[in-house]
Amino acid sequence: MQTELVEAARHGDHDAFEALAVSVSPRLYAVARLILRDTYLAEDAVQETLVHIWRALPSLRDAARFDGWSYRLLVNACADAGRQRRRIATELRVVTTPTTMPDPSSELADREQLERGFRLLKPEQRAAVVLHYYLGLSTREIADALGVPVGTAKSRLHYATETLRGVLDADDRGTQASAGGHAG
Amino acid sequence: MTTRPSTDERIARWLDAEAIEVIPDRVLERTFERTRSLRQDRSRLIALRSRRGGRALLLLAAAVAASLGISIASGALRQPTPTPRGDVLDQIVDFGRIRIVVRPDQPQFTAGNGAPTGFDTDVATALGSRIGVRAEITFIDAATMLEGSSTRWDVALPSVPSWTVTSEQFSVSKPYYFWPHRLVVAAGSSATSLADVVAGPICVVSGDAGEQWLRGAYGSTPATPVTTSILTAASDEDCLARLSSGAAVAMVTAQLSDADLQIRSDTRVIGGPAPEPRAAVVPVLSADGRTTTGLLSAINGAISAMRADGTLTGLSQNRFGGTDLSQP
Repeated sequence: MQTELVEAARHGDHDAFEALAVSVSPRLYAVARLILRDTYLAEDAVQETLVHIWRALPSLRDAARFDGWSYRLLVNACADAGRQRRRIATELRVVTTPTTMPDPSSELADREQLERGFRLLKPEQRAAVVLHYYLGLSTREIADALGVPVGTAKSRLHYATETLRGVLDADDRGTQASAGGHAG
Repeated sequence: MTTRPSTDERIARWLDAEAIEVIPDRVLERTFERTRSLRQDRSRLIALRSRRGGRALLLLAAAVAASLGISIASGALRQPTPTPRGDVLDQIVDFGRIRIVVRPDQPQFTAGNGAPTGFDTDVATALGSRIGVRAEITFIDAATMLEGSSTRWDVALPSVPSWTVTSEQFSVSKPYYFWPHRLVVAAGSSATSLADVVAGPICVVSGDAGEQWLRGAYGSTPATPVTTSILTAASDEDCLARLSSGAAVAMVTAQLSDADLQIRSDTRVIGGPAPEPRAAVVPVLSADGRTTTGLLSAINGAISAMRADGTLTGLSQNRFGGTDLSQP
């Protein structure tokens, strides 16, 4: 079904493009929000990606490669949005939430730590994390979406994962030390 | 013994929980407004065909010129049509969730599973329900909530006196409950009213609203200090100890509830200030520049409705030993 819409849209059928956009935009929006951590910028990035898709669809030779191609356009749009954000200096500040009662048994603690760790990553590393862990793309597919060699995609994903692991491990050690202190 | 999920699992779960696959209609509407008047870029196709046909330069030049013409004519090509930011309430309804921060300590307490729970978490859940969205509750301490530099939340329930919230950065809702500060003496004391203990010393938890009352700073307008003989302590328990030892003639409670006091045989309530109003707080502007007046109005509406139909009374009685703190 999607392939047929892509083919029709490639040949200028705007109704087919609208149907295609309605179908793929929720996933694009989710990815953009995860990468940018900003609703407004994510809306702009998705709008820009869809416009780019419409304009450039005639150049897509293989309709079956539409998903990877659209992710590539989206990641580029997110990078542009990130640059725009830095330019106008409206970078969202990280909430420093020294929760006085950390709850290691739930996912609340993870959420705060991962949020903090994620903001340490460069945009291209964030993209690799989201494409891999949220969309389930392989490193080869990530490389295709990011327009980089497979080795570079692997390296970005590895570094990003290690950064997040470091944040989680540090928090786990803190929690254990705290628990040990109470017990002792 | 439970096994900690792997890092990969924790990252994947977090992203799944954070992802919102509901795109606001306005994004697609604005996209289609642009694409309907925007011709597709067929320059590459033309170039390919022209290579085959041997007229590459001429057609490529024509295509580039056409492309440039389209680009110039379409002023919005490189910039997204600005999306009106509107009110954060629209965003909350679009997403189907409201992010509410709650303090993890009193009036919350730690449940059996180790997670904080209590009156504010109940109110947060009920507020989300009244607005028609899911409440996503995060626990952070009250001071961090009200620092003002970070508002990665929609609504805060800091459970602090309403008058202490900075109005330049935050808007305050109607109070949803009123916390009592009781003037308490030892059971054997002959004092029956404030006048009998003003000579002091009166013990109070340092920094608490009770101290503000004693110093004449309780509420939004200054008043005459109740006493100049004040003994500050770190907790209600410390004040109770000083009351018991005779180091203080009275104390003002900070976190002890009426239910807590009723089960004590060594103390007696002789007065205290009007209950302290506690309200929901929203930032004047959201982190992405949206207004919050619509959200504040929705919160006030929800509080009024919950007060009118007895929801707040029920929640209060459930969490505060049968006492209804939803009314002043």
